[in-house]
Amino acid sequence: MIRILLLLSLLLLGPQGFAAESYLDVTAPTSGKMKLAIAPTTALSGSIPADVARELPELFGFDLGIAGPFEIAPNEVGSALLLKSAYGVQGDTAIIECRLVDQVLNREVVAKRYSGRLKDLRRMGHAFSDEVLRVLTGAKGPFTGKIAYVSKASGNKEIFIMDYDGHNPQRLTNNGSINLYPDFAPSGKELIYTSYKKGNPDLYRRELFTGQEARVSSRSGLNAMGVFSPDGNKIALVLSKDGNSEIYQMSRNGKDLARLTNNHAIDVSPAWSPDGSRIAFVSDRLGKPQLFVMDANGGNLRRLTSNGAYNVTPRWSPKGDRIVYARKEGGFQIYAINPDGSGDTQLTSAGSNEHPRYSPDGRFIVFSSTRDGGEGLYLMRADGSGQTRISPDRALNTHPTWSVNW
Amino acid sequence: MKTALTRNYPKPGGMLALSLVCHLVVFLIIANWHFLPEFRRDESPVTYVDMVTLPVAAPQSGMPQAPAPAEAKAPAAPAPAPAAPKPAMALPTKPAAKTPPVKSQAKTEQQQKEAEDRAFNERMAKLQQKAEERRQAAAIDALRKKGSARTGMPGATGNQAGSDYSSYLQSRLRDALKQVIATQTKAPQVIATITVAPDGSIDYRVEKGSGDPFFDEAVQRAVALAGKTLVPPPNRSQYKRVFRFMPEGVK
Amino acid sequence: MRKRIAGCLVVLSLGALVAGGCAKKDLVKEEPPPPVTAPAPEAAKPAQEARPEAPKAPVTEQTPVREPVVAQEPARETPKASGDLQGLLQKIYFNFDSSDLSEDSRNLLTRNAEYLSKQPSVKIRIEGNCDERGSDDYNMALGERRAKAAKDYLVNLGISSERISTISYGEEKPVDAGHDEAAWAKNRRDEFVVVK
Repeated sequence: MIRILLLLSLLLLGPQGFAAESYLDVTAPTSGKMKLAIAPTTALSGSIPADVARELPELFGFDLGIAGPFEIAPNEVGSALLLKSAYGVQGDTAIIECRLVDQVLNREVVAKRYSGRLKDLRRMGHAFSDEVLRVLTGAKGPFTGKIAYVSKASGNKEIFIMDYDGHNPQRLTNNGSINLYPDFAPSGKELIYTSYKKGNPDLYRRELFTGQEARVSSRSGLNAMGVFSPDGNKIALVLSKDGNSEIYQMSRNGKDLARLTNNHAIDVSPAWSPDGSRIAFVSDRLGKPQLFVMDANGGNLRRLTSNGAYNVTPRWSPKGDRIVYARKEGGFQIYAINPDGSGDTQLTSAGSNEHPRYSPDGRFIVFSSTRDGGEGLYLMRADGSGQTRISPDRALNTHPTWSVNW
Repeated sequence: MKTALTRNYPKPGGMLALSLVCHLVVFLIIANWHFLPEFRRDESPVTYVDMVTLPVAAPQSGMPQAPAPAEAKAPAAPAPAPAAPKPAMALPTKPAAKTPPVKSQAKTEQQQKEAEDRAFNERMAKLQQKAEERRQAAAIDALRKKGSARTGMPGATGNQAGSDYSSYLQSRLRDALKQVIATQTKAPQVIATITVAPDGSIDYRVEKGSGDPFFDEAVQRAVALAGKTLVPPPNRSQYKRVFRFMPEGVK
Repeated sequence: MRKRIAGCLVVLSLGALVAGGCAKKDLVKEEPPPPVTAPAPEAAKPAQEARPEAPKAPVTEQTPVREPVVAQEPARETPKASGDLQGLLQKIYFNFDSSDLSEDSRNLLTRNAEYLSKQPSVKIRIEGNCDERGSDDYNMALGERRAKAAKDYLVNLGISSERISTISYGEEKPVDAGHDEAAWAKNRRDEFVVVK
């Protein structure tokens, strides 16, 4: 009733009296995407190496194209937004100046100047992509984050780290045994993983910049699938010291152990909710592996998935509104579901797809897939669109995990 | 204030008054709708289809008096053609250059070297754009000279331009929006009061934003784009009206 | 101390830049170059912890600290006194996603128990393995369960549980790298390894 009154009063008091009581509609079809053109990189002074002139525009095109909201326009004319970059070198320092220009409103949206080592060119470029997303969408991009993953590139499974787009792969462990389940600390500066390097599958925590390492859990049996709590103070993990695999939590140093499940079934793959209050995990206590959710103290258990006979590896979205996981139906496919069990949605269909994880900003999901032969790393938007290979090589690469921006 | 007003009505009486007004409004709208086609019939339909190449519904009486300042302000950035219904204008690529009716230029094009093609195409596009603008201005001029005695329309309050100017502006805005539209949400809506000063310069005030930064900006850009080459309102008057912007197909 | 001041300056100037964000055209704002800096010395560590956003040497700059290459299987078969025992102990196999002991498996385990009882000083490790088809997280636990199943059976047959340790390799140590049922069947197994 009040709404009707308001509507009427609006009609009455329209700026032009009777004739203007209704709006004139202006509509246009849309794909939703904002057109953005990328200009070739110019030289700050002198000339610019051909590979650099290509590299930056390609990088911006990849970053902003995969981001989703933009359509990378092939031509500068006719596109409202134009991203320009200029490159220069001073000694062994590279400088890039990047600007995003609104060609219609005739103004500069954002401009940044970066300097760094020559080899950090890509990183500087990604930093500007992050910035463009921040300015235009309100949420910074994740492109200067790193992806840690398990790779057999050196013959056995070692932990590697690379740029989010597959550039600069770097081996982190080098112990010749089996290394699994990398997980970044929320700070992005530490990584925990499980390694057989001393025989038993123990949990290690490594400081990335110093290389310092501590063995934080070496209880008999499995010390696996460790994941940092969102505040970084705790680690949830799987131990089998009491006879079969159970979910535990402990301090980041491996102390103050608390058992969260107590069951003869298999309980694996803990995943924190972003507020740290709940843990999703996998259990076959009802016969086949299914997803469950419990409070972080182990109480209030309930089953999450009811579709599918084999659901595994849950990961919570950073916003907390979705849980992504893999379902075995022949091969694996990636699904996402609301934490209340509704909204179950399939996101992949080509090949077998496993180990999904959200990017720290929630825009993307990284995962591994066999779609192009072997098992490689891929990236898609959280809604399943834009699936793109990011594997740095043809080796077997799995278990990607995306750090916050460095 | 609006709410205060409505709240002051005693319930039954107020409702009655409101419903009366409401009916009147509806009646007037319907009445206007019936009038429009009749007026249209008086017009010779040939010129204005050509004029803006737009689906202008009823560009009848009250066309602008002032000469069109279409080329007055050359935009710094290569502005997409003002009324460009063809994207080819905004993107001066080869195929675009082949279609235009400008004959002498088209011939020389053949002799151009590959390297010069691009620059040439751009010049081409500009020429085309100018030609197009000139054609439009001429068309508007011609239409103005035909001049009908009628100004304004029944039911108009007098300070407002005819509905033809509304349609004109509406289609200009629509074309501009088409070029720059972008959305992040499902059904964003921007309600904005648009003012066109007697000199043809445009201004707008957002009455209700969409909450979708992409769409809000798109509307801002569309208004700016449309405002670059706008025929001033008729009778050296100021034009003011509320528009609602939204993606096609959502209501 | 100077580091801290420098850090503050960096943060402040960054803040100022952000604040001055879209003020004027044609002004390229300086941003403290995130990618620069030499590898942070060990001493700067506390400061790093305090300022997570501080510019930082990318990992890519660091050659990973070499770790001693450790034999991943500690003391596999010490082929002296127990050498023949290692040859006698038989692997057992499982169905997909199962740790149930088949009749064949139980017979093999009974025989293994006989050999073990003859050499009471020898310890063994049971290694549980899976095929590649399941989830590797889940398989890690399944391998554990397969190893435990065999251990429990041996203990029931009188072998001291002190002599038997278990480990799961999940699907990480296939004996057959193939991707067909024949390979998978070979990989779903327990191995019995003599340790000292």
